[in-house]
Amino acid sequence: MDSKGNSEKKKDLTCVGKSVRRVDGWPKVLGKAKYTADHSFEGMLFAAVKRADFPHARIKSIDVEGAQLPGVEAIMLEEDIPGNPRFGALNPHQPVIISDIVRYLGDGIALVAAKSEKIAREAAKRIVVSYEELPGLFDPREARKSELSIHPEGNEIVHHVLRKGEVSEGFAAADVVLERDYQTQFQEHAYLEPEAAVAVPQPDGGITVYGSMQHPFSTRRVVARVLGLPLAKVRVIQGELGGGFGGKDESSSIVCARAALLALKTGKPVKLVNTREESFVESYKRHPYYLHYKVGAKKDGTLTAMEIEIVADGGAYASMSTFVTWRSVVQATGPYTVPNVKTDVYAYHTNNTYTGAFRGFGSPQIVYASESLMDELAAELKISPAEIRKKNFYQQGGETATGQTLKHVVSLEPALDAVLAELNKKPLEQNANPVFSRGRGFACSYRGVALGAEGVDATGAVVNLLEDGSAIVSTGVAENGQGLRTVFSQIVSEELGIPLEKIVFLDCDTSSIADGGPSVASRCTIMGGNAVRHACLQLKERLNLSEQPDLQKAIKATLNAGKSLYAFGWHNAPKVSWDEHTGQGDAYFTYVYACQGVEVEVNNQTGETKVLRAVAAHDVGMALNPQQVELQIYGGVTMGAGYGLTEEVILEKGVTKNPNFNGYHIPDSRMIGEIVPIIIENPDAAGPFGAKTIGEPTCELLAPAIANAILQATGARVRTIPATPARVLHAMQKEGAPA
Amino acid sequence: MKNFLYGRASSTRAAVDFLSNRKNAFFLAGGTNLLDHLKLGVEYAEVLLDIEDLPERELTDLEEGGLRLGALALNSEVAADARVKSNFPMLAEAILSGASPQLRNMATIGGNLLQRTRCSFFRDIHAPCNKRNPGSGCAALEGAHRNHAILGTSEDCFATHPSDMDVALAALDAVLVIRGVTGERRLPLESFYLLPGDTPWRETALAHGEMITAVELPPPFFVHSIYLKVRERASFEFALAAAAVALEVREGMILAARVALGGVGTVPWRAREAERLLVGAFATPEAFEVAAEAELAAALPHRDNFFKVELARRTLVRALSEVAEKWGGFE
Repeated sequence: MDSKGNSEKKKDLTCVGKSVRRVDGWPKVLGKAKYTADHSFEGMLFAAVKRADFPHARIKSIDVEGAQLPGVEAIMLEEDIPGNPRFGALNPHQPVIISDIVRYLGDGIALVAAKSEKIAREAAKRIVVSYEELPGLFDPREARKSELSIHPEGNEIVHHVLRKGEVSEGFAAADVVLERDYQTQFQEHAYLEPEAAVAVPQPDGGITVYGSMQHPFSTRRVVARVLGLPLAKVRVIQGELGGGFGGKDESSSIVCARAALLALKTGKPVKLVNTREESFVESYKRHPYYLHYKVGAKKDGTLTAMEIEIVADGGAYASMSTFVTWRSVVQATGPYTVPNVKTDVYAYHTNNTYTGAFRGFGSPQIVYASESLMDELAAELKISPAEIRKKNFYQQGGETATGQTLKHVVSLEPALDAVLAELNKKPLEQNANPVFSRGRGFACSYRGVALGAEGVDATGAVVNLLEDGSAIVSTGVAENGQGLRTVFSQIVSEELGIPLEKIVFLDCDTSSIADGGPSVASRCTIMGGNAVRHACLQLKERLNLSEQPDLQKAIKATLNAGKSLYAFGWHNAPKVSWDEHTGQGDAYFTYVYACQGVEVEVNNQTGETKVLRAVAAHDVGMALNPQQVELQIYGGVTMGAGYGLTEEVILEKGVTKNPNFNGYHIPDSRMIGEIVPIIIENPDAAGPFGAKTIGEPTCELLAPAIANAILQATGARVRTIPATPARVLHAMQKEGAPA
Repeated sequence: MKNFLYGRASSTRAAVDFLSNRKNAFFLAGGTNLLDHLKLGVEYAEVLLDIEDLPERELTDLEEGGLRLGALALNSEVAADARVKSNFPMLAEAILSGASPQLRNMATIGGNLLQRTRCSFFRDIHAPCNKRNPGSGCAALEGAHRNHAILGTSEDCFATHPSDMDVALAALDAVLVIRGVTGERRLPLESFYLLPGDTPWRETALAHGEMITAVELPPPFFVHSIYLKVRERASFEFALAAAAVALEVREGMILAARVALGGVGTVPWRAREAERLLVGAFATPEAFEVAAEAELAAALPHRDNFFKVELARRTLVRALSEVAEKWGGFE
């Protein structure tokens, strides 16, 4: 799949582009890696949280009398917080602990620190809170109309618009107009390691926090704000991360802030670890979306207009709803040229668990809807799903819904062709047993890389070259398990000609490197990788390697000249723009393109669905480590299968009904067969060695591919995910499909 | 902290005598269900009497190929036993389709027979529940009840019996051996489970202090059987619908049938009506449809579990068809 120039270029590389083994693999498999809960300190206390008993209620009184058990060293209420008790990325209205109104069942009311976890939990249970119950809102569509307001500022968190052309004219010019409703669910990140923090008070009155988090710098911001300390006195050190998937930003900040409050109050180290149930109830989920699509097309499939209205459930707090839904408004049409577009995306507060960042970040919902829609439209027009897409795909030099001209290589068609070739290598063969029906389906997407016009996008890296030719590397973006320690080490090895064994990656410590923004939005490789490269380029210049190619001699000469071999690289993303009144602008500096296809087997008696085979083609710009790219694809496809088939946090009147893995169904290996990754490379000018992104696009495509395949297998269209046996069965009965 | 006394029983008789005289006292075997309930506050224990050391763990042969399963035999041991696999394969399939390997390595036969519903309101001590708190009402009527029962329900309760193993045991005509202070009694599994009616808190015929010591399986009459389970993922998940089916077919005619349904009843559901219609009928798809239809005629679905009627019907038809195929298929 390499473009010719790229394979030429790759040939000259010694380390980048190779599937080198993960530099952090051994400590993990040997059990030596230190996760946050593994940290322990002399005299350490354990913390527990008293949580809300109602999803919406006014607190009348809090009685801590009965909680004063032997071994309890501190009980804290909101009034005991030395700094600002509220935080939030955009709207700082989320409480660390609260004393007036609880807005969902994850809200904390009191913190306890005790000599053992058992005592702390028992004490928290004995705190008696009396409430005046308030009526709750549990559906964003009701919250939209309701007189009842969950926050003083109202229930609407955000309303994004996009206006391009004139949709009424587009629909008038259409031969066919189709309207469809789709619905998606709350999804849990289900990281194996629940949120954890260990806070250690420092002699200077500051605090050091070890935490399970994706974004040490935003954690530092929250902890400093809540404690009323200058940022410099709060040091946040990331523990080995047992999974994040977008879920360990605010969810982790709050846990770290609580541990820090108790540590500062008692003067002792404090450990706080959420149970799985607490993690389910407290941490934010993927937004459920209610999506209405209206699309117009000519007989030949040419799209003329799209009108989209989306209502998202933001839950109790604003968190990152504004950012998540912004990606949705940019990408809602799918990767298709539509001359007339009108999109409105709303997020409303409810008394459900709040929602926020989750791998995909506002795209899995709209990709599910728009890619189901494209198949429905193709069927209506009696043309093939591939043909309708190819007719409308974005092209290099073409314009997106936001009016952005795509200057890089747009690889939608090659991705689709690659998937279809692999998927249809063998003709579809039905199971000899007529109970099972097989079908194939696929979906395509484009995705803005990194943060885009959400905000400032810049990050830094330090490369500290030592006298013996070894090097220490650290970056402002953090290792989440995605493999950046390995890939950044590969870049240093490539640039400086040092073997990987001589490179040590130093994990993120907020006191030793500049704030490099969050490790989210699949931005680490492209942003952090560039920063590492900038640092290396500075060193190469100082070493004068072009004149003195022997590294050891060059190091000696540079040090003898009194120059430093410590370099800090900073990378600022290319310019982006956004007009919030029209939804027009260059939303992201570059995009990635992908297609995933799937063959499913549906039990047409029961609706049970299995993924027999999945094929995933992703343009990553350039695979710095092909094996790591494939691993991202395996994981993302599996997560996408869970999104499409099994995973749903069931919230009823704000109560999580399935707060553990027995009731929350991550798909198991028996439901997912072979996964075939296909890497497409079109080096991008904005990426290190041309690399772009892989983490998130991998999990946004399988749900619609599955829905399209279920239709082919059974004739039934499932418009609500996950496609559980009950939903598939229901759809089959409605369509009068095979019974 | 809720403290309780913990002791280990040295003889079955002493254990039964001890427990009969005490309130809030429980036998503790694998603990996979009881410990959950203690943690959730669904149960309150002053005494836990560990019966792990009792001798009731053996699998012993009975006359003509029957088998006696000691109540303390682990689920995983029973599923792996060669006699079970060859003579009662449906039982092995049912056990292996339930829970996870870790749970099956802890859970006992007796404990599985006594496992309680997964109704989320039963397990949530803040919710009204007629089973847990008699007379308090049923939160599932208005609330989430997608996986609730459609057979054997009452106005007071329609919580699903969660076991897979017990469904197979129901089809196998299992008899429970029960030890009480006055001696031993035998009770067919079908009489052991009580429908909720207006006393949903009474789930079994077991009196306080009585202990299930064994399960007796009569000689297998059948050659072919199946346990078919439909669920939302392929492992570690309760049934949406399940069917345990054993048939004896000669020259296309069904001579004997044992049918039970899981995941849809308030108790492991012996499908007597289906059996009645099957015996004497020819093994045809039509006959299976008729039998399944008749069995589910009594189904009473609620707002969100209407799908279970159709799902159970189809599951049963398919299970019957698969067993018929093992007998050489349809005419």
